[in-house]
Amino acid sequence: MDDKDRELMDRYVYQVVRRLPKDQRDDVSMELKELIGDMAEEKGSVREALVALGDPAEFAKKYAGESRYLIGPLYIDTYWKVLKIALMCVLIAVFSITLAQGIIERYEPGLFTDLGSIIGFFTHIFSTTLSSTISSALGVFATVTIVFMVMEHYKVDLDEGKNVVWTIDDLSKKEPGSKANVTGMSAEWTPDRLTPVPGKKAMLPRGDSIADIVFSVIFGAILIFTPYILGVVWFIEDDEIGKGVMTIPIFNLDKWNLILPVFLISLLAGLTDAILRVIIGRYNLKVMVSSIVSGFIQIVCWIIALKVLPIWNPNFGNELRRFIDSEFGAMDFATYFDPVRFSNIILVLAIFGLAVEMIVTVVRTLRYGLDEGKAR
Amino acid sequence: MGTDKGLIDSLRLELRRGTLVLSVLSRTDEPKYGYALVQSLLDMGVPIDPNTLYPLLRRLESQGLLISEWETDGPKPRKYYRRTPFGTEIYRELRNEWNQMAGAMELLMKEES
Repeated sequence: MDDKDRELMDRYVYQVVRRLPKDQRDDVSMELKELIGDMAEEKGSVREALVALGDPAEFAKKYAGESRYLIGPLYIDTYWKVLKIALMCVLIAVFSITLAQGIIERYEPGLFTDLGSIIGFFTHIFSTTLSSTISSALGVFATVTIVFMVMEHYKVDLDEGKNVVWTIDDLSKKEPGSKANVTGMSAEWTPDRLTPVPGKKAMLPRGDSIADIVFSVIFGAILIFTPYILGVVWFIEDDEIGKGVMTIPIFNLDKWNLILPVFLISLLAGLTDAILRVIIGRYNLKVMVSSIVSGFIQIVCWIIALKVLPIWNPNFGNELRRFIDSEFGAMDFATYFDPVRFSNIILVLAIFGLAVEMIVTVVRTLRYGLDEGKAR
Repeated sequence: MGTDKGLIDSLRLELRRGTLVLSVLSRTDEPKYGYALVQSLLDMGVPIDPNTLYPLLRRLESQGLLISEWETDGPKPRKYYRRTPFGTEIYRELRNEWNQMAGAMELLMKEES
């Protein structure tokens, strides 16, 4: 073997080992040099030996074995499911928000009188909606994929419950035989493990949970990006101010950095619960616990938001009165806005709604959801 | 026709894959270096690509079935693989399994023809 052959061999070996984990490189490279030397002797030249071995990248793949998966068989089902739900929610939310935003920013009275501005209006709305929908779809795709790549890389065990959101995914894959994971019984599978097919009443309506998710994402995005449109919105045409959209925000935007986190925590609690419901798909212990925890978090958030924080725009009443006076003439009776009473009404409604949901979940779980593992 | 060829190839590969471990274990009661193993398997009518065998040897070592040692005395360093006692145990079990399977398959296909 002359220097030229050695150079060729070194290049080949390098192309293989550079694709391998560091701790294997030295050993594999010695091993490959031995192999190439032996093959060269038999085949007549190093070149022939390398041709027989083929593409170094393919060779390296064989060394790396199964760890070459970006997202392996263990996670791929969950990956598709999560990706679909995430894409759907974000796309619906982004689409409707950018659409609404575009209309509010660009619309002005009298717009629809000439063709040029109509076309301009729709082109603008179409392009902004399309571009933000596409870019957020790519964002969602990338995020979900990266999360699963990391899980694949570290082989995050879905059964162990290291991550609250992802544990439950595994359930859906193994349901209805998942009792073992829940109670940690021995790993041996026996037919006793077979749980009854969940009755219709034990199933969670998937549409409801998806609607919850979509709503949470839309509402969350509005709260983050355009909280000012929540309130009274109208179009004006005024000689002094000009044409455009006016809003009286109902929330206290001066204190928004205090209020927003509380809203988001509440939404996140609801969102986590809804995602879990979609993935599990039936009433069971996990759904019940999640529902209670998420319900209480949301109730606490509502109480903090409505009773502790200065949530309402302090000028809302005055501005509303002025607006109504200017638009419709004086109508005192309609403009009375009492923030304390308003807060109380909303708080009662929110707690009532959440309590009903929690009670329904608990009752249904106790009645239909606990028969896993019991042969009825 | 191209797809038929591809299909046959991939089915053949699948069929062979399971036998490779058994083939390697059968030849490693004495220490052998990689390319000698390729040759000795080929002589017995079991061709195996070096780029399949070498990674397989490492895998079997990591599973505790083989043990390796670098022999640096000769003109060039060689890595010798040999079965561990555990490897021998596994090999015997797999061999029994194979014998049963081979018998059964023969019976199955005799009826067929």
